[in-house]
Amino acid sequence: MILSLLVPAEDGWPAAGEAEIFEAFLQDVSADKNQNSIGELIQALPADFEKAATRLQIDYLETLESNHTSAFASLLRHTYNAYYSNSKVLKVLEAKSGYPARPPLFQGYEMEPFDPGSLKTQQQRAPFWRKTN
Amino acid sequence: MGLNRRQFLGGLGATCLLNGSSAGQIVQAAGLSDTLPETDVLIVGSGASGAAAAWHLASAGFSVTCLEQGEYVDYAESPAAKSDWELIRQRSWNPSPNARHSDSDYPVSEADSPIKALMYNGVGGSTIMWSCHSPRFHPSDFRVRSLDGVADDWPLDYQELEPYYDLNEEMVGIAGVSGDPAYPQRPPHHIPPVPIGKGAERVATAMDELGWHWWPSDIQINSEQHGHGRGVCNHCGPCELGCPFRAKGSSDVTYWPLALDAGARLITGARVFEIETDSMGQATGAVFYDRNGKIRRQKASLVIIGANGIGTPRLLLLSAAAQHPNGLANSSGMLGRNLMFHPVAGVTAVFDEPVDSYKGITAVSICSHEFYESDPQRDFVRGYMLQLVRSIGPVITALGGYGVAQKWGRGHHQRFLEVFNHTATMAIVAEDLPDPENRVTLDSSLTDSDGLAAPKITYRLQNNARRMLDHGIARSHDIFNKAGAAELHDVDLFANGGFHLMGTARMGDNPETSVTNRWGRTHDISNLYIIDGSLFTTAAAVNPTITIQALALRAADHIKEHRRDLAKV
Repeated sequence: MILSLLVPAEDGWPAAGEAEIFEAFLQDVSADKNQNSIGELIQALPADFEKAATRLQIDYLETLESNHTSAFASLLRHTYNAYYSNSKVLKVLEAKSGYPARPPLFQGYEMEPFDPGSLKTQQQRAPFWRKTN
Repeated sequence: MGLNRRQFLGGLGATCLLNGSSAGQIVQAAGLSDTLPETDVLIVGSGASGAAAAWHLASAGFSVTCLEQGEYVDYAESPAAKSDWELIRQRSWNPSPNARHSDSDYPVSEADSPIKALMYNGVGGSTIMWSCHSPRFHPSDFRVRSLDGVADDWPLDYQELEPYYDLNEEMVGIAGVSGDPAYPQRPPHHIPPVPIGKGAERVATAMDELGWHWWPSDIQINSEQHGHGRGVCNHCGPCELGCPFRAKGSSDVTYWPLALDAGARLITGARVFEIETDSMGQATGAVFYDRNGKIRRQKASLVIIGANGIGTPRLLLLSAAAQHPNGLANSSGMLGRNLMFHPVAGVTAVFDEPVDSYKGITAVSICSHEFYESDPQRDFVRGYMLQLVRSIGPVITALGGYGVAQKWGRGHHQRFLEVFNHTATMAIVAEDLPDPENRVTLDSSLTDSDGLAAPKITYRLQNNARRMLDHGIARSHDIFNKAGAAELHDVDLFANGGFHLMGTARMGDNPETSVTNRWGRTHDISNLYIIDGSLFTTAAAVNPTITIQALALRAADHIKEHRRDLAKV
């Protein structure tokens, strides 16, 4: 629930609370040596959080962000780690930005070679390194 | 584009390293006898300097043994080929040993430093997680006291080091463009520059309009084939995650295959904890733990330490004994002092149009030395380099990498798309001046996995460096505004910016104020040399690796030339 408030479904993007992403979130938390930050947030959540209206839930989270800055930053880190390494999310990103939904290796990326003509202005400049004698 | 796994494993260098078919060997310490046969030269550390020295000395006929506490890295397992590469980058491939939590590493006590130390322990040392930017020092960098009245002059000058820059660059291959007006003339580059990308093209045009210097960065990346068994860059981006094509010039693919061919022996999983000396005070070898915690001993006629600017003073401090209670080679009291980083600030520009931020080598595309030299009009001495960086993946973008905060909740994705692939970051790399109070000591409680005291770093950012960084931030605003950036975001100081570790066993002519002489030979012990960034008298404002390698080759030449004298030691 909380993850989908942080990264909601919108404009073709899945919510971060989807099962596969949530599973990755839990794995990311368990790999963290400082897992207690999530526990700190859970402890600080009001008892009526689950039953509250969405607007109030967001208010609660904003309060948590203000009062538990470091722990909330950890929550966001785990959420974004899980979300932006998820294959479904990366396919949406590919469709919207052209960023290939695959790891950088082994294919790499095409780039235009350096244009030597772009140095024309700089090559007109006299050497300006500082002489030492 | 690029090679597959089978093809890259077929490269000559890879074959040498993986099956031990070369003249030399890579062996695991745990499989050896308790006391190893004496070697002419023992090198502690297999990184940029140790690899270069091993090749040079083994090629000259010395028997060379190198002890490395880490292991050989198999690039077939590079995280950059995995879907969760940006997560692995935060953990087991994090450049901070404190984040990796590997037994091959040692932790660094760094609560008293605003800059955290980054390094890697393995064959190739920190070049494994390095982005290969390879600029030379300027001639003025060796004459800081004479020119600007601060710090000290080096005991050697640019001209003296120049042949070793040339030799090193021939060995490793430097991509770039000759004729940079910020430098003296030098031999032509071996290979063409890497692509600079759309973001750098915009910035370069802006700098031309401002009348400021820019130039494609010198870099140890194969834009074309260079060196045996090495392939060509495919612009995948995260060089610090290892390059299976061996296009990246880390020392495990440049010098080590050649050093092994020349007969050097490389022992991994060997954590040296003491340099031993005899009753005359001369070095006799080293004692080390293997991976199982068993103590072993390597005897040597001459010992060279290349364990980085933190590891080297740590080892010499750990080697304290009754004859030298303050640490080995520390009669000056300078060992561990004058720790220098390159403090780094950053400005990230967000452009309205995509600039291919995720493509190309992480740490460099172009750089500027416009503000490198001292200018009496400014409120600081010495100067800084501007360096345009890139390779931002989606996770790092979401996490606010390089200072561009994201929002959570409704509208998150819209903001994400405004930023992702739309950024260019200017890193301001400042010269750090030596301060004896910035130092490496041994921590009183933190230890590594063998129970050895961890290094503790105590560091304060100097006002001069702060003013430099502020000046650089303002000039970066000028550049990006001229380039038409839509937003600018500043990072005053990158905490995780301690890539360059320098100055902690400085060289000098005066034994009372320095640890080694002009050749890297310690003043106290004539058969003990230091060859890493610890040697630096001052830090310059450029990346140190090729200067470290040039110094290592020069020290090796000195050892070769004085072979007979050393035999008498």
